Amino acid sequence: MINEHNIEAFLLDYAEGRLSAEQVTALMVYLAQHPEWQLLDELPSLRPETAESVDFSFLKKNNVFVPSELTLENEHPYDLMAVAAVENLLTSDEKVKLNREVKQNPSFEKQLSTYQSTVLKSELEVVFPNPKVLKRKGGRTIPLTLIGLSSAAAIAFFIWIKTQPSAPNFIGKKPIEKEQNDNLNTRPNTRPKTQETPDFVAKDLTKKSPIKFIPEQKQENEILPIPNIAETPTPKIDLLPENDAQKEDLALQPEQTPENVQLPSANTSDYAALPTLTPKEFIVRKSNEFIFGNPAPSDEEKLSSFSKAVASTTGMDFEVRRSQKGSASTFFLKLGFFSIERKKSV
Amino acid sequence: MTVNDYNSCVDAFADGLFRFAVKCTSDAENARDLVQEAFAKLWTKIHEVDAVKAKSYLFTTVNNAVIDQSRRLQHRRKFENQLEVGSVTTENFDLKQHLNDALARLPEIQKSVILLRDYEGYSYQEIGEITGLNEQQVKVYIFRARKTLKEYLTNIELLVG
Repeated sequence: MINEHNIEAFLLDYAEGRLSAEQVTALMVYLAQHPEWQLLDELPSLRPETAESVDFSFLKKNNVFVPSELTLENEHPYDLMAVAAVENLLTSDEKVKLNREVKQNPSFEKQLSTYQSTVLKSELEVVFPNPKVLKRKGGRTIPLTLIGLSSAAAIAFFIWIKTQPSAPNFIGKKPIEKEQNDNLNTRPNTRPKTQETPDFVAKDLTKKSPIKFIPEQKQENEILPIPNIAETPTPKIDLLPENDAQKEDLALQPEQTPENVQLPSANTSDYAALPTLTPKEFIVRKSNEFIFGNPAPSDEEKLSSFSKAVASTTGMDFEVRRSQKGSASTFFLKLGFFSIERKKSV
Repeated sequence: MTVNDYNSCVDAFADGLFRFAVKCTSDAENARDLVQEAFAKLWTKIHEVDAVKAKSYLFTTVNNAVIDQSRRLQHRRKFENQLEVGSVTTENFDLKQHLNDALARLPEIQKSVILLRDYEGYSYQEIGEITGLNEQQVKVYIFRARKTLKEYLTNIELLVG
């Protein structure tokens, strides 16, 4: 039983949360019957009964472990109740208690009013400008990342092209092909070069695309001369080979004399009769076969095919032209902002 | 999701998404870019995203982009906030303006949840799906956001007198 002698002890126990539900009810009844204790309105910290009576379980943690910053354990009950009211989460009983609290505590009423003013009003006058640009009619969208990758692949491809031995000369540099021929011409030759020698004999077949060799049409009744093996001049090696390329060159030449060379037939792969390929050369040629359908595409074919693929993927402008004026041929290619023009005389 | 569904999403959500992005970034141009990127992303995944989930997908995309941006601008924003303190006078007191100022000072996650709650009327569960939080965390962040806004407004009122 609460009386004037133990009311303070009850209030302290209540403030510390040590009262049972029955004791809290008894305390509320006693306070209601003794108006002199209404001065507790000035001590809200000792009157959390209304706030505690509200079920704030919706705001309590429901996990086994929740970081302290994500719990509301230490929040003031008035704040919890006000936010619950603003969020419209109170039950009808809780609303009644809230109204009673508001009437009894003007400061809490002001707090609640401020909380309610924190509700943001949607600014309907703010609209997305020109939403038509967002609409679609179908088709396919290419992600920016894919365009970036395509551009990177294109750059890598051009770098690769430039680093190849047979790279096209777009900047006025002396053609590598001619340089190779010049180098070959300066090598010590082991036999005299005659008019009958096919052109490809003097070229390094392992370093560049094979040149189509078109044999002369022989008459059906023509009798081919039988080569006299005994009179076939034995090649003389004037100088010792200095490197592997020279060794290879020297090893090939005896077999490629006009008398014993076997011309490639139309149905035979051009590479079947070629010397052993290095792994790099083999991969390059197989890649060309797979990508371009041709084991030895010209540089212009490579550029055109790859640029067309890039253009179809990225939507960039693509244009390729070939023109022939007399003995001069012109190759023009444009991909987006990048364009090249190559002129050469046949 | 069909092309018609996608275009319906544009009609239905573009404005709300734009308002959300504007409030989060305080930059209309940036907000427009974010909305365009969100719809472009939705378009690339048009066959994967269900039409019912499109709104949630769009807001999630924009919210993630906003958080990424805010992390990059965090230090600069703190400096700007320090410079703006104390600029309130009796003549320019406006609740809406001060509420916007207070909103701009909130941490990104609190700003996002309260905007989704008040602007779009999302439930706690839906906000959790968009922001990657659980329902309890959403409640706590909304509580903290409202408390911060309330304290800011109270301080402003005290300043104005």
